[in-house]
Parts: sequence; C-alpha cells; structure tokens
Amino acid sequence: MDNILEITDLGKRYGRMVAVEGVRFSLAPGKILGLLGPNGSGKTTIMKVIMGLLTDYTGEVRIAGAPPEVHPPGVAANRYISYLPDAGHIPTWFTTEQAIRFFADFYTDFDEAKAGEMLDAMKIPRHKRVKALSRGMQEKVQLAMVMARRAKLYILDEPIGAVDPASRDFILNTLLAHYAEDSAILLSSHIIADIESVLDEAVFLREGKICMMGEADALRQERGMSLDQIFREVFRNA
Amino acid sequence: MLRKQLKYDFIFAARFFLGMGAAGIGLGLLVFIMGGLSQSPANFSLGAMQLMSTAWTVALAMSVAQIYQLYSRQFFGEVGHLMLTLPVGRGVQLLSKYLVALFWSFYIFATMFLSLRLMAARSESSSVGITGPGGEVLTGINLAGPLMQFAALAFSAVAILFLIVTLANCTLGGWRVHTIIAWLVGGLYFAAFVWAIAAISGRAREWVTVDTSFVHDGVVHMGMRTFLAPTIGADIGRVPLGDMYVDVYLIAAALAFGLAAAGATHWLLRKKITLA
Amino acid sequence: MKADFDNNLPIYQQIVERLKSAIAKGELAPGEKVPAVRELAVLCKVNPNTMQRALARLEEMGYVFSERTSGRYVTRDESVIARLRAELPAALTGDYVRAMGDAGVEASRVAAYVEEYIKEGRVSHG
Repeated sequence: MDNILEITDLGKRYGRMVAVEGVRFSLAPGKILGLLGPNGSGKTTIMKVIMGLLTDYTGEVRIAGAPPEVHPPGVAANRYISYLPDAGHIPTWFTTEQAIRFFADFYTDFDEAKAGEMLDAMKIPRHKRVKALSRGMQEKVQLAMVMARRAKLYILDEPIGAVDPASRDFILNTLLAHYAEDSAILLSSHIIADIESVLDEAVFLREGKICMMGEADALRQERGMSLDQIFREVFRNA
Repeated sequence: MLRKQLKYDFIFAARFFLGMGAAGIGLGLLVFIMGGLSQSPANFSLGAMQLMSTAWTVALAMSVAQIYQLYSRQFFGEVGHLMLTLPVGRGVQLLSKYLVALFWSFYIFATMFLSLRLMAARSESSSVGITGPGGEVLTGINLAGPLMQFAALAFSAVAILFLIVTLANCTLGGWRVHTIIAWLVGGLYFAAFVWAIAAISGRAREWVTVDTSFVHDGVVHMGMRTFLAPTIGADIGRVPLGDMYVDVYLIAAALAFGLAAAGATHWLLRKKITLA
Repeated sequence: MKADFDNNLPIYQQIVERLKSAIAKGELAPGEKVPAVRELAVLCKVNPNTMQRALARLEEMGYVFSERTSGRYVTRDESVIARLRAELPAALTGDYVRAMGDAGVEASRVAAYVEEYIKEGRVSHG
C-alpha cells in the first residue's frame, strides 16, 4: 500500500444516531489533509476510529506500518501513529520532564532531544507541572510531545482550537517544521481561515458525510474563493 | 511493555495510597503515645480500637472509591486518550492495573494492621473483655489467616470496580445486548464480593435463615474480626490457620467468580471500549 | 517575501508571482541560492508541497535552476531577468487598473489619477 492511510466507506452509529456515513478518503506520504467541518460533523469520530478508540464501525480502515505491513486500527497500528486529541491527554500533575519520560518509555520513535529542544524554545522549565502552565502553553507542550515522535501518521484533533493567535502561529510553524516527505498529517479544524494555507487537501464534513473534497489550490481555482469562504457557503446552504 | 505499564499504573495509584497508609500508621502511633500518657491505657486503647475498626472500613471504602476513580479516569477520562492509544494491548493494561490494585490493597491492609497493632499494644485483652459478634472473647492478632481472606476480598473488590467502570460506559454507549451481558456479569461480581466478605465474617452458612445482621456484622465488624478474632466453630471446609479459620470453599468460589468476571470484563474492554 | 497570501486564489500561483517579483527587483540576486523548500514553506506559512510546486514552476519557466546536490539557484542569465523586469510594469499596471476598477473608478479617469500623482506627488479626492 503506497498510501499511509486509506479509509473506505466508513460508517459509525450510536444506536440510531449516525455519527459518520460513507466516508472515503486516503492520505499519501508527504501530504497534509484537513478534515474541516463544524463541531459534531464527525471529524473526531473518524480520528477515534483510526486510533482504535472506537471499535464498533463499518467499512475499512488501513494504516501503513513499516513497509510492507498494513494494519487495521489497533495496538499494532498505534506504533506508527502520533495522536493529539482535542482535550488535554497528558496527566496534569506530570512535570514536563515526566511527560518526556513517559513518551520515551512507550515509543521507540520518540526523539527526546527534539522534545527537550522544543520545551527549551518555549522556555518551559522541566520541573514545571503541566497544570501550572497557561492553557496555550499546555497545548504547545502536548503538541511538542506529539511532533517529537518520528511517526508515519500524525493525527491532530483541533490543534489550534481554543488557543490565542500567537500560539496558533507557533503551532502551525511547528507543524510545518516537522513536515517529512515520508509521513503524513491528518488534522481537523472548525476554524478554517488560519489553517488553510498549510493544507494540501481538504475534506469538508457535514453531519457525518463528506460534502466536498479536493486539493486546496484546485478548490480555490474552481470556486474563486478561499476554503474558508467555501466552507461558509456550503454550510449556509445546509 | 508490561513493566512500563506497571511502572506508571503504580505511580498513578501511589499518589493516593502512600499518604493514606502513612496517615493510618501516624494515627496508630498517636494513640500509642497518648495511651502511654493516659490514666487507663487499656480502656483508652480499647476505645481507640473500636473507633479504628469503623475508621478502617471507611478507609477501605475510600480506597475502593479511589481505585475506581483511577481506572475510570485512565480508561474513560481524558487521560484515556493517552493510555488507550499506547502500543500496549488491553490484556496487558488490565493485568497491570489488577496487579497494582492488589499491591496497594495489601499495602492499605498492612498499614491498617500495623496501626491497630500499635493501638492494641497497651491493651491487655484478657482483662478488657471485648466480645465479638459470635459471643467469643477476642484475643491476639493473627496475620496469616486474614491474608488469604483479604486476597479474595481485594481481588473481587477490584474486579467489581472494573465492572462498574465498564457498565457505566456500556450504558452511556447505549449498546443493548452488551449492557445486559455486562449487568449479568455484574451479578457474578457482586456475588464474589459478598462471598468474600461473608467468608471473613464466617456468616455465609447462615444465609439460609434470613439474617440481615450479617451485612452489619460482615462490614462493620470486619475490621475487628479480621484482625482480632478467631472464628469459632469447626465446620467442613474450614481450615484452622493460627488463631483463624479460613473457609476454603468460599475463598475458592470468590476467586473463581472473580476470575470469570475478569475474563468477561477483559472481553468487553477489548471489543467494545469507547471514549465519549 | 514572507507575507500573507490571499486565500481566495490558488496559493501556488501567488508564490510564483511573489518570487518572480523578488527576482525582478533584485531581492533575490542572480545566482543566489534559493532557500530549501521546507524553510521557505515555514517562512511563508504555506504547505511545503505547494511551495515545491511553485519552485518547480519557476524552474520550468527558467527563472531558477537546480544543481543536483546543492539545491536551487536563481538563474544567472541576465537576459531572462531583464525580460522579467520588463514584464513587471505591465503586470503592475494591470493590477493597478483592475484594483481601481474594483474601487469604483471609471476606466477613463484612471489616467488622470496617475498624471496628477506624478505631477503633484499626491492625489486630491475626486
């Protein structure tokens, strides 16, 4: 499998409520793909399925490991995926040093030196507890741990969600700086304007279904407007 | 991976239990010292021990609640996003948490035991005349007997917690069939737990006659009986162990139920785990 | 060079135009080494593939060339740069007239604005 991620006809329901339906897209190495849509449109559901956190789904999800392995979502695939969930996931009583230790312990592809550098660049002392940091700082620390892994697939759920503009810039820069040609980034956002220039491809989700997708510049050419404008138009006509 | 998982589960649990146990021993020391200063050390000790056995059950309840909270946060809270996406299998995670919970349960047991030991040091049981629920005179403190019973109790208590967490999640997730299965398994867990308590209080055989006091006896007097009382009355399956009698059949039943329920929980967690 | 791109238009085209302009104005000197794709992408806050595409286009058009191991360089061919420089006024004029049109100024009045600016150094309203 040449693609890093292939999703075919993914569906997930909670009882009678449809979370996602008929989702199909793939992610090639070196690409940055944005799942764009309002809250509740299924972005997080898709990501949780890929991470093996939701197991009761229909359709097929394939993740490329060290070639030529291909894995379904689960423990084996998680070795190759670095995940940044929406809410904070590092225990808040951890110090940043403990956080580094934790990731180093469980992931062989974790680059301790890089993580340390990123923390130093943010001027965060190692013995500081995560809960003692500001919200924006916490987000940046979470991101630093995720990006310090040399993974094949990075999944970032709302990386610039509840963060101030300066932190947004930092986060986007970090994203771009860690870009590698043999890995791919899947990110989700309901804020399009700030993030659209870093995307290769965009997938617009509405109520669990893909309503539009394509290469970013191609969409801009076709519609003569920004992805943000396209998003607003598409959802105004909902 | 098990060693690393163990390391972190151990640390997560230690944050609560270490202090708890230390507090218990501290209390025991305090009573010991104050007993030495008191006019009537034996009565003082006695009063303290009666208080302590109630406090001990409260402490156990708190520990149980804390273990539940630790696991529910680890599996279903925000930290679950971190723990469940590790390259660690569900079986390994469960096993690690079981082992850690057992260790800390024993730790609480040991510290409470030491604490009571300290308090009892000044009491001369023969002259004090504490009578247990069965009317017998309580003498001495024997460690070996309670250990086996406590193992069954701790094991099934931990198993119950896993089930509570899974159940809560199943119900929230809204799966019909699995919720029913989970509740059935819950019955098994509860049975295991009650058997274990009953074994300790030696009351299981008396269930046939509806005797509601066994709950009171089993739980409130659990402390005193476990630490101080020899169980009386020879019976089939009861093995003398020092001052204590250990009901082998009941222990085996508790362990068997616990294991079966653990297996069911593992299956549920592996197949159906979900984060809200 | 690092600046906000208009998200309403294909970004790669805008990058191409910016780089052409930089070469024409001499901001990127003939023969100068062009920074690596990733560096430029981070600088401009754009997707590296988009940046790569823009640079490839520039290479196609002959404004940069790549040395197999050491990266990309601005062309040393003065005639190419001269041609680019010559194109600049035409492109700028087109941009200006279009922008004035968008601002509601009639095409016939645009020249008057330009003349007044050149003569007086500023333009009075209306």
